[in-house]
Amino acid sequence: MSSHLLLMSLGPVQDFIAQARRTRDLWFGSHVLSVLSQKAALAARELRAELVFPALLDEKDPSPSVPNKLLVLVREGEPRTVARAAREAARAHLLHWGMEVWEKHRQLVDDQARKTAEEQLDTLLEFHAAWSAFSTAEDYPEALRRAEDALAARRRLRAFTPWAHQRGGIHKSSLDGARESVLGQGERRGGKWERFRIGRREQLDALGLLKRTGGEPGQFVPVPTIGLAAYTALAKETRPAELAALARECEALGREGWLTRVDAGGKAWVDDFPFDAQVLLPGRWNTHLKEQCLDRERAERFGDTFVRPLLRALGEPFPYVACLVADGDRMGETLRALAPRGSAAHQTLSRALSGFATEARRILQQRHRGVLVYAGGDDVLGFVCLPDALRCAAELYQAFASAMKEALAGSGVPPPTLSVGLGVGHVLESLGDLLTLGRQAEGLAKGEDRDGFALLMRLHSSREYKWRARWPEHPVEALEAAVSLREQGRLPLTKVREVRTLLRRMPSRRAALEDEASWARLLSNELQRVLARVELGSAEAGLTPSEVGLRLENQRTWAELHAHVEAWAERMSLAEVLARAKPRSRGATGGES
Amino acid sequence: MNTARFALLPRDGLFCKDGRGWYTSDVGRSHSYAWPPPSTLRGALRAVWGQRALQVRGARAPSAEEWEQATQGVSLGRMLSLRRPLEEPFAPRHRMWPTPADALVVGGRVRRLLPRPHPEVHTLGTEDDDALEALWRPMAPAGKPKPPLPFWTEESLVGWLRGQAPSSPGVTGPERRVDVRVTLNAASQTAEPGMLYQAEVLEMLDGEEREWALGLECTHPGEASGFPWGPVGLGGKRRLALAEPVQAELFTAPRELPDRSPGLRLILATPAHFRRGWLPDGLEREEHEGRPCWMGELPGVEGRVVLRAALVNRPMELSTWDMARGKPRPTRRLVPAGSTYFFERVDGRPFTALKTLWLAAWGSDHEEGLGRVLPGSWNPNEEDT
Repeated sequence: MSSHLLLMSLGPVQDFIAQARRTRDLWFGSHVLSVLSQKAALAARELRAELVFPALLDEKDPSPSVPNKLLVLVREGEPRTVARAAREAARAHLLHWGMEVWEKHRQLVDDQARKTAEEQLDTLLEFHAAWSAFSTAEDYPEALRRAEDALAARRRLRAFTPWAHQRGGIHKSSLDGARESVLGQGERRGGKWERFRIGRREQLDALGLLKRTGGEPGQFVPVPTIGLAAYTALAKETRPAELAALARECEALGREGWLTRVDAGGKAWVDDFPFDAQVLLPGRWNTHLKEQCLDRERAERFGDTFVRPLLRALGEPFPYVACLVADGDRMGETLRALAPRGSAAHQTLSRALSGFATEARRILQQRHRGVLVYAGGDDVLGFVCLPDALRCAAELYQAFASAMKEALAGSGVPPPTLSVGLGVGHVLESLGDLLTLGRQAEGLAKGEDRDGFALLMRLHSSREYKWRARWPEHPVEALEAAVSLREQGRLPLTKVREVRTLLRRMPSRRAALEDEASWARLLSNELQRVLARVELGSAEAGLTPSEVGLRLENQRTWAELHAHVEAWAERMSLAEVLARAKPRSRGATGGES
Repeated sequence: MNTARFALLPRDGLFCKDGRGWYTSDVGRSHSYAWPPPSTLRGALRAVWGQRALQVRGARAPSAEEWEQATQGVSLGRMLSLRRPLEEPFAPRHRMWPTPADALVVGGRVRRLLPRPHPEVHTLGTEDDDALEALWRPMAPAGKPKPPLPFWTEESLVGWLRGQAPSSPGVTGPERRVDVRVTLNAASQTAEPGMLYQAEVLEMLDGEEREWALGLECTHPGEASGFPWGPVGLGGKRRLALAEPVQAELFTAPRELPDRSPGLRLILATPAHFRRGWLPDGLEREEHEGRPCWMGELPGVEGRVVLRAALVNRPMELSTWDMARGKPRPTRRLVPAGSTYFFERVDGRPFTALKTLWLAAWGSDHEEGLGRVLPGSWNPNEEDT
């Protein structure tokens, strides 16, 4: 008797999660997708389908991390029936959830928009499934390949229908720019408008409303609180009285409804300052508190009395945060290589990945000052404060390597690696834009040869720096060494700028040069001259290329040498920013280079 | 009606804000379309026409209806993306095309996706639709595909329409830069503290000493020599674009285009607006060869056709602004440019007049430049990529 291997995918994932302005939009968007995948998988299990990927499913888990691609074995019955049940379970749950929020927050919505909202909720889900029959264990790999190919091909047609329930003349959602807003049109003051921080000119569609109001306001750690975690930790250590006074005042403002206390949710570092830390940024406490309708005078008094003493002692905080995006490399190949060992081998791998997800949460939230948004399968998405970001990335990489080595021991299948990207942006950027930076960094980390790490930083001035290396090249250690050079003042920033200028004056990396060796010699000599020169007033001796991490002798061609020096300059610029991100008791000034 | 043909050359970048407004973050960042939608261009040309009409008529501000009536005869015909070396006059070799959805880059090579029937493996989509599930599917070559580059050159596209894969994976679009600006206090004319805002701008000059432009064929009512009469305010903040006259030859079909083919492949050169979303107008659900399918007649296409396959990405959601009424219009869900449809004639005969379909209009809202198609050959029996 033949069984069927059924592969299902639920979406949209990346676009839907990225449609986020506030922290809670991103957190809840990711949560919605996980819950929908959980519902779909449970519906399949109810029809006696056997879960392969994910192998473990806790139906009571209120915050599941279930991947959006599900692989199940249908030993009896019709796979079409199973797929349809999974789809309808996810769709019905979303509609029910969205309308529950609608009813709960009637103050926020326009009654005329009910049909629009229902349509938006009912049409979000993109569901695709493909199944293939197999009779023996030997046929399992071929059935998997056929189902994977069919699903990939089927997803090349994204069938859609036009909107049927638009009202016209209505602004579009500030999150996706396409769906009509369902918010009420009257004055937005007080109550839930402020509680859920819906701006006066902000617009939300039914899905945006679900993301914004689906959780409790204090449930999500604001991104500025993550970005400034090292600063508040230093404040607690060196200026406990001032920080305590500030926290007491925030608490008092919280009791009056102007600020919301953040629920640490087991993340000990949040307790250092359990409020939105953007009140620590000069120029923001006024704006932030005024948004909450606190009068200007009181907002200014708050800043002058409670924040400025800290700023005088510690300098201004460096307002950047890292979005960490990690993804397993060549996981598809690993699954295919394991397929001849049958579904049990896939289930073992899936369980190992679930274990890694738990470990990822611990690494981000307990070992470092970060927050995990999602960890399902080999995907990790989170935010971490900049001074912790490099070590956090390295520990994740190690944890993944250990989990895969153990899961694949004795199978003869090489363990997959993990590429990790850190996208760094301003703490007041929209969450969607920070996520885009993280994903770009992840793409850069993967490169052509995978097993990579990348750091991509976009400063508020729109200046961008990026650097990538493979994990076997010890990228974190290389960056830390560069940070040390900058912290010790051994490598002035002027020299880095001089090297950049020098590169600009040379032929481009792609130039076809007849006398390549001469150009390479010229560039090497010039670099040595720039580094060796002793700056006026410096007691230090000059530097050699190897002391600053330049390996000029290893570069065989002009293109390689050019790329190596360019990457070095990027690394040094990133190191400069990383050095400034470390809070210090005195002398830190913030701002940008 | 008269036709004007010209290229618009944005001189200060181009910024076509999408429907999200300025409130996407606490730092006021707007987001731009990857490439200007045709509707934006038509809107700009209508504004030019309307302003001239106002000058002629006198000072009284027109009502929304009067403005609508005075400018609705200004229509966009064929629209091209162009990229030329600086100072060269525009020619067909400078045309740039959206990357076709039936192309895939695997292992550094561009591979063709060729749909075939696969009755042994079943699929299910977001809705129950047996005609959709019965469509043929392309089998992708082994290996992880790379994200496609957004544009193809004229040479690559012409070869592709003939069934030949290009050697280059394509061209990246114009660079994007972020303009950081400050809000001015109208009374004091000084910057408001902390009120920065950022706009994503397409930089139309690229690093290879080439410039990007938009080639337009525009019809307008009455005699209007020299339309659009000077620089055009285009996109957000009405950034200036120069208009440069071009020859009709710029819009014509290439000579190398195939004229005959056993199957027909239509690639969208501009986004298309269809009544039922992804499904082209003119097709109805029927049975063919014992299976559910979509059949019908298409504008300019010989005979009755059956839809064999469709490669369509997520919709392009177009939310435009009604300048005359000062209100947003409803969102239209368009089939994105590059989407590809495969047809066979019901009577099994080949298609013999592909060239007549060059940049023909498909679907609705033609006057906005939507739904222009590129005809390509297709052998329904071919399997090897």
